[in-house]
Amino acid sequence: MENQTPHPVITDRLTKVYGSTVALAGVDLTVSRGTVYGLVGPNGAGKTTLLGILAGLRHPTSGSATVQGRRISVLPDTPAFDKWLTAREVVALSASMSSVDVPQSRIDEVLEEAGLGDATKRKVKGFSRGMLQRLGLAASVITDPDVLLLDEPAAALDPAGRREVLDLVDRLKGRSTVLFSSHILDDVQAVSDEIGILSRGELVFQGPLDRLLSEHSTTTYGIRVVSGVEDVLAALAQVPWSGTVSARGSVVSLESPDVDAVQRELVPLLASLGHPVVSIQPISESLESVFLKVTS
Amino acid sequence: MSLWRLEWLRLVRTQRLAILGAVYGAFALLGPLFVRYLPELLDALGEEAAVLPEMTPPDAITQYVVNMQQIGLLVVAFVGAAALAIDADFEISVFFRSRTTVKEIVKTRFVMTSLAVSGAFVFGSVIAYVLTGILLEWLDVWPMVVGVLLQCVYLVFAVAVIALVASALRKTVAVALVSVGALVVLGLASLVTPLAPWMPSDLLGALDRLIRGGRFEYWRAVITAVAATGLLLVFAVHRLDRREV
Repeated sequence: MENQTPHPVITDRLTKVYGSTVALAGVDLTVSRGTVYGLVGPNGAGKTTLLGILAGLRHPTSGSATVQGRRISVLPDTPAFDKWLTAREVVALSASMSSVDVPQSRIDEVLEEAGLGDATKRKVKGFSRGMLQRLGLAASVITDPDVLLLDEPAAALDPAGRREVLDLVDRLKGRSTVLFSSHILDDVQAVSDEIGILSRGELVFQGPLDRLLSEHSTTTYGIRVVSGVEDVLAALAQVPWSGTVSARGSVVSLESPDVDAVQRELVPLLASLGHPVVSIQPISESLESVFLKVTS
Repeated sequence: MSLWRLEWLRLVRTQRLAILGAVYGAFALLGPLFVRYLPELLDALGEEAAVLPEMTPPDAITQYVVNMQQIGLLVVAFVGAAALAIDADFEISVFFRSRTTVKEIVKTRFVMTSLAVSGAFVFGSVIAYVLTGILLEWLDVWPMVVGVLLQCVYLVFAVAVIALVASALRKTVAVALVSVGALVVLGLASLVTPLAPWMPSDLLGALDRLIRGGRFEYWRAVITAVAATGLLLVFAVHRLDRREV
């Protein structure tokens, strides 16, 4: 990458209004070089509008968007190409339009990586949606982009296809800066270095996944006891540092906002009750539950 | 795989070039055949041939030109709109716009479409000329050549009009129909305005008039057509550049 700015994608109070609808409201996005940035948000949150502005396909109402790089590639969620072209021609055309000189062997290699090795000479007309998405990704990757903007890149794929696409995105780490939107949180969790959560046009969180989970998740502990579940529930209900307490079988769940107090007081409390304890372990919160919490 | 090759493939694989050639070729055949065999046709139908003015060799070319100004222009509008309505499909538009400039896209599509429609017209004109020579009488070649070239200037202007309409509308059919409407209105306007000699539409009748011995008096229309073509393209690119996808 010839331009070494640390943040090739930056938006500053980016706002987009369609009539009376505010699609984006003062979004400040910062994407670090060579990272994979996952943009998540419910339908209508403004993800596609944001990617469209970054791609230069739409204009902001106010604020600014800067994407730095010699080559910027964009892949919409349902890619389409002239139906009378072959897969190989689409990829070659993509390279040519982006002023990238690649040998035929490299085109076939990229198609192979995208899972279209046996369809290089087939016309696009007969391609399924999943194949079109793979082809779109191949057409993006062939340009060796500095910045790659992907809108729901794995939405139309089966689980195996999704895995391949995510692997492909993962392999771009360090070489390209990838910003991809998705509503499949597992995908985001699998490949993203950083994530941004859009909700009703606002960027409600931005940063590493770990920080999202640590900032927005409450610590839940699972306490497995041999007996005395009722006593444990009653005791926990009376201490000031406990939050929500529930039981399922022999496991008592304790959700507390005060991690320090739990770590300091829980073991002595259980010991004072005298019931045998099998295990105490923190239960990590899923991205999905954190996402729902942040966007609610 | 350059944009030029893409546009060539678009013309060939979508059969548009074949359709243009077939339409222009068919009317080029029909013109001379119609003029040559009209008396026999009327005899066969039992009609009185005397009620019609006598047909001359230039009438064979006129038949071809008139058909081309109607059906031919409609075909040109659809072929041109199919290439120049670059935002007709959102996803395809994103593929192109995110990789190259609107100027490059419009330039290649305009040039290739212009070459295709002009080539088809020349192709038809050669057929019509040769067939007229064989069946009726050989016409002077230079008036024919100049007339065909003037007609090609008009066709290129028509493609530029399509490009401008495509910068205002997105759907292919709408672009084609509005373009035809605009060209018809421009043609009608040239009939009633004192500026007629300056109107590109004046070129439509040039071939017919030249092969009948008319003087070359089309330089004003040529200047307007060339200048308007350039301006229309610049305006179209500007509008498409600013348009959100």
